[in-house]
Amino acid sequence: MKRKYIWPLYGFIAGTLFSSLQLTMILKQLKITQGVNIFAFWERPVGPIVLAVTFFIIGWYQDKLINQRKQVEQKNKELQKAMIDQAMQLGEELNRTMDQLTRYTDQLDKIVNNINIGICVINNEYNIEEGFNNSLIDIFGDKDYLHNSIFDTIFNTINENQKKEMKDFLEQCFSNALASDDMLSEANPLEEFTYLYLEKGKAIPKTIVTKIVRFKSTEDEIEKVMFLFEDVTTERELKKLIKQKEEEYNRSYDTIVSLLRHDTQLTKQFINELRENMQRLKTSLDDLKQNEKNIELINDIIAIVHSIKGEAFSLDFEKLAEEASQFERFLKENRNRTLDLEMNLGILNHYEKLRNQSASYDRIIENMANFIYGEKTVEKLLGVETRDRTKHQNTRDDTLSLLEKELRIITEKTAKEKEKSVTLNFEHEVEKIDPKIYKPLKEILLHLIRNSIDHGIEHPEIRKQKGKDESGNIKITVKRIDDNLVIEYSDDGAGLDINRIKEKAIKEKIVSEEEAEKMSKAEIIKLIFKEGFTTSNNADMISGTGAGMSIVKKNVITQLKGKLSIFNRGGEGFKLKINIPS
Amino acid sequence: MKVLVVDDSSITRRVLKNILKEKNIPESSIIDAADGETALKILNTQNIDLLLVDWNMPKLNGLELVKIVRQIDKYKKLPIIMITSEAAKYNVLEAVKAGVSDYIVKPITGITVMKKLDQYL
Repeated sequence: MKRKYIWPLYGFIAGTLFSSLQLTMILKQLKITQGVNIFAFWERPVGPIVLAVTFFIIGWYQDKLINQRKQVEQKNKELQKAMIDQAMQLGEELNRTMDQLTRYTDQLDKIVNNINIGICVINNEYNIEEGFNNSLIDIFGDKDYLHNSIFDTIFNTINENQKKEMKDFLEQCFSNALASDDMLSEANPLEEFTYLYLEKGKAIPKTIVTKIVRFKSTEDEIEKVMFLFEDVTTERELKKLIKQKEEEYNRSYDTIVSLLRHDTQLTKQFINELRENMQRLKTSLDDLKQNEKNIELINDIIAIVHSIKGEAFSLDFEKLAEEASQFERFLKENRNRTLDLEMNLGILNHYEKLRNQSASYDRIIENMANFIYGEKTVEKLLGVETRDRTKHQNTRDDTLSLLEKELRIITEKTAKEKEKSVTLNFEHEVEKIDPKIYKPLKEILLHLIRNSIDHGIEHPEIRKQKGKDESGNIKITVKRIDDNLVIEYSDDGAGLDINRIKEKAIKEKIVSEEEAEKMSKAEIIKLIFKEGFTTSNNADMISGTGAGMSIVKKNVITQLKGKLSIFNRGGEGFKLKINIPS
Repeated sequence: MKVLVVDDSSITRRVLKNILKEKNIPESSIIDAADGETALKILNTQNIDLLLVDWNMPKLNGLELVKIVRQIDKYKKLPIIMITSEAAKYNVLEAVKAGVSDYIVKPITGITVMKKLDQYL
């Protein structure tokens, strides 16, 4: 029951009671109570009605208030519920976000720790900050990175100079915000460096590639530098291996081309001679004794190596020629040394290289023999037996026609190298010659030709100025006079320069200045046959190591027991006559 | 946007100007100079927004020019791109120290120059 109905009722009753009470009290005071019904409300209706109305208003108003309060409460409840709902929703969303964030961080951690790039960030005091990854530890080892200097942890195995350069570089990284990261990466002195990784007390070198990224503050200042390190040791090793294989392949290819390029006879002869020379070289090296100075033996070795070089060069076995050339240079430079450990190692090292190179020819010839005959017989392919050559009868064609072929190749090649034009005129009345003579003779002629082209014959323009043919001429005649083989060699170059020979002989300390002054022209010319004499400033493939003319003399006199006479024709050229008794 | 191109080779200057034109910079906004001294005069009298400079030049070389330019207040933050054949690490660091913002190694190609310019235009 609503208050607005109850309250007026109460009011009415109370009003009635009150009016009656009031009336009764008044009547009592006036002493007139008889005949009056004290409850007869109609006699005094105003009080109760007023009260009833008042109470009704109060009730009604209270009802309204209550209603309002109820409404507010209701609204509050609704609001509360909505708020809770919203909060719940927010909470859920937050949870979801947190989950996502955790997933992201996990993922980021996984990425950062599983890429094989070591990452660390340093501050402007070069100390490593929080947030370096596992790969950094994998690359540089387990150390105290946090808050320690990058120079004590990561750059601790570089040398002082590198450290200085790196500090200089880092100073610029922090102080120079204007420079781009790209540019700084290019300036990084440790863009690629070697780190010594300690494992069980052993230092393992690692090749590390470095990149940098800089973090800028809002004021465009550099706050931090991030380093990215990649261990590229394996890649570099693989690259090296591939390069080695490639070189090996190229060498084989060159060898095959060289072997097939020339006349078969020539190539066979070359290979046979190479094998002999290598054998001679081995014997001579075996004769060398530790801690002794044996200039004779060293000179012999130089002559053998020089001979290998010359032949290899003339037939385009470039790699072999190069190895022999280096060996020769080494021997020449250390000619006067005692045979100490270093010298021994040097000789051994060069010999090994030369031997490997010559062995590579054998391997390829073996394979070729296998391909042709189905068996790996080098000898069959080369057409020789493996007996000592000086003892066996000549099974090869030691003919002057073959010699001519070879001399033509070397003439052409040397002339091309020296940018000169040279014609070789080779006349021979004899065809077959004693194999004992063949090889020394060939060596003599090769040296003479090289010397003529290198020192004697002038460049085409100069020849033209002198009124000579642009193309130089070399003439060789081989005749048999009585029991002697007579070889005449001449060129139409500038001839021998007496002054230059004198100068060089003094410079190479072959004669003293006083001695030279006393010498006649003929005596000076003879100096070119001395060991160690050269008029060329640079030792190259063609001549100029000073073993040339001395070999000519040695071959003629010692090996062939012959005679040698030299004619100086001034500016008309050079002439030499050799007489070999047979 | 005013660009100053400084190089003693007229061919390089022309190539760079053509690349800048490709990047929609009007010809009137591209100024060029053949040596450092002339460049400095231009820099002092006009307001330049981007400087492309060669290292080896007569009179005043590129590196010295950059050092002087960085002393000028209005050019403290000017993008300066050095174009040079000096590619060794210590050369690049020297350029950084002088105040160069970026670096292009000769021989220049359209692509490399355009890529670099994109960062500054």
